[in-house]
Amino acid sequence: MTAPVSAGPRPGQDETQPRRPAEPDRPRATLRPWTVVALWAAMLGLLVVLDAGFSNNTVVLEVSGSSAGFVFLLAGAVWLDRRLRPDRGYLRQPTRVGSVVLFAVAVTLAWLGFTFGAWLMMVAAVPFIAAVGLEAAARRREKAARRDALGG
Amino acid sequence: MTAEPVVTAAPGQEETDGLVVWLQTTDHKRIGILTLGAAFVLFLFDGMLGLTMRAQLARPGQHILSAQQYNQVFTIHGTGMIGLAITPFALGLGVYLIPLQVGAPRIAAPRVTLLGYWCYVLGAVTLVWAFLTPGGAAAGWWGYTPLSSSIYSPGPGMSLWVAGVFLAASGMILQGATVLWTILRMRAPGVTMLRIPVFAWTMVVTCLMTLASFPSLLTAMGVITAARIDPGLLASNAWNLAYENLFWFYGHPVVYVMFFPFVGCVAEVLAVFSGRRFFNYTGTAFSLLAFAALSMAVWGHHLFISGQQVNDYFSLTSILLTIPAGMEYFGLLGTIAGGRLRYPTAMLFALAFIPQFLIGGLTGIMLGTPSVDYAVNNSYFVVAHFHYTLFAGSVFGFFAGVYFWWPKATGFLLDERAGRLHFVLMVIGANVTYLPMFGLGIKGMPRWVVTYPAGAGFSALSLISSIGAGVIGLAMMAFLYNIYISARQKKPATADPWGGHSLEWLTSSPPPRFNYDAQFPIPRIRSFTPALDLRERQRERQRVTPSQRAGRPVTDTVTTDTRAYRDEG
Repeated sequence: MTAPVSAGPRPGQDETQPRRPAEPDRPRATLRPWTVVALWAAMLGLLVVLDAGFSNNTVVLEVSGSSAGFVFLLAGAVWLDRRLRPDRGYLRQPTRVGSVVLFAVAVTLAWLGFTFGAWLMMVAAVPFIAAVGLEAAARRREKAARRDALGG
Repeated sequence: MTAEPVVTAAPGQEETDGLVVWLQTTDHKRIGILTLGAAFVLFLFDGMLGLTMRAQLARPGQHILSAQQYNQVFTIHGTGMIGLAITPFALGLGVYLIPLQVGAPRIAAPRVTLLGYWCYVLGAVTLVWAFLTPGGAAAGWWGYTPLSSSIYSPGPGMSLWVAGVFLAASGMILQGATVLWTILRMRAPGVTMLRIPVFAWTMVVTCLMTLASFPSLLTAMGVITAARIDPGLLASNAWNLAYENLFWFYGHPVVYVMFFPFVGCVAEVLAVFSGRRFFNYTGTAFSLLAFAALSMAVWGHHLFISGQQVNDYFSLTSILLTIPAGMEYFGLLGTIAGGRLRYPTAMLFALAFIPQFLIGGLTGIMLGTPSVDYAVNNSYFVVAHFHYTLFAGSVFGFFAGVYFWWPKATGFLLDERAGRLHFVLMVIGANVTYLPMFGLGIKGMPRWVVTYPAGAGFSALSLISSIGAGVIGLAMMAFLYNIYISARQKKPATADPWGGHSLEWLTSSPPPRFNYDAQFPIPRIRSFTPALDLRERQRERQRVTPSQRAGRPVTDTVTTDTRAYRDEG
């Protein structure tokens, strides 16, 4: 496989910057990532079938069957991502993300509302709204920076 | 495989130091260190609770703890060690190492990884709060219903426990997902699935198991929450049975989540210090997949005596585990057989892992046989079995990894003399603590008892076990002392102090912000041991005379891909 490189320099990219080389030395036999996940899901599925043969109770079959199904979906997601986004574009590396911390605090407070009362869930709205605000502001800055870089 | 075009780092956007910056970082190395650091603090806290329990049980008829306090202590010891210490050790190592090992400049979805860390930390705070609350959580680490319902466990302690477990498990799911996605979709060119290191393979199966089994725990916590709001829900026994199945569908796979990454650590350490490539790499990779799949299908052996499961099936799957486990051991032993062994502290821990985990594994196979399980269920035999697996096995594998990758993460070496003292105390402590527990179990000492009568025949072995626990405490002090003196001495580590095999040893110690740059580029990847390949080719070139060299193509040119990436605040 040749490493996909999109045409033209990207914002912030120096044209003299060496490009990623073509993928070297690919072995004849390869194991694709989605195959690994699908193989594992198939193993889980096989065990569910075996389990059904032993007439185990339905809860057991439901729990293990849904888990195997979820892993199949995951394999599909990996396959689809590879198909839809063979080149994921330049890497985005967010740095300071207070919104993440605030979001975690909001989730914690909301869950604790089950213990200490619904008022705590209302309190959780404060860090949640702050997190959304921070996130929106960061995205606006990011867009503006990209626009400036393209314009420059 | 994803191939990323090169983008440049915007000058001045490198993260600076400072607590606030660290706590909001999206650098996988920092998130990994934060996760491992938090997990180690909680490991020490939960270890102290374990020591308190051993002090209580050292002599018959002691009253250091009341029965209720004892229940609270073993609940938080179990929940904490599994959910807050060893699982985060496993996934934290993955967060730190995987992007380095697969040649990625960052982890997939770094903010999700950070969110995972914060959910974990807030979950840990909530769990410790559950312990410190009057009438705290005391329903064991499994929190069986209806014991955990608001009728039998009133007060906020149990509710806080549920919230803490839910948050910590959510955090681990998020971190597991990003580590898995990094391996599947962010490998550098040339790093095919069959060229990732053994540690990365162990992380593939660990993360798959995390994603497949941990949601079951979240559902189980939902059941308890609903039952605490409406205790009438548990009037139907169907919910209690559903809870047991949901819990153990997480409860057994998590043992392997706490095991596979440390087998990976041991595999890397054994290969490097034996001077050989890991033996039977491909066989090990496929056997790990089979091992992980089977270990998702054995949880029912925890319920043998309940009479609610088909024991034949779960006994069969439990015993089938010996086949892939044997393959792992085949790989580990085949690697050291005939190698030129070196014995730094990391290697000592890795070597001790092999027989000690074997004891835990083989006794697990015994417990997978219903007839044996009926006899020793809920006795100290079971306690000995899982402590051999998790402490004498996984924690030894973890320390092998810590001593091995510490110089890579910090840029300085740990002191070897203090490390050996730590190792010796750990071996003595672990075996003196847990070996007598097998005897106690066979003699019939039940688990979860706050004390025992003097004439029960448990006194001598219990005392020995408690002395051993004290030695483990000393071992941890030796490790803390080692960190202290090593940080003071700061003996600098080179990029590759051990002669490592995998990609991370080709970058600086500690690695740059985006892992590889112009100074430390990624070489051509031809196998799962790129660093070793490079050294061998360099040695080969040195042997070839200049005239010979003139006529042969140079094949070990490293790429000039600087892999510097742009920050986007």
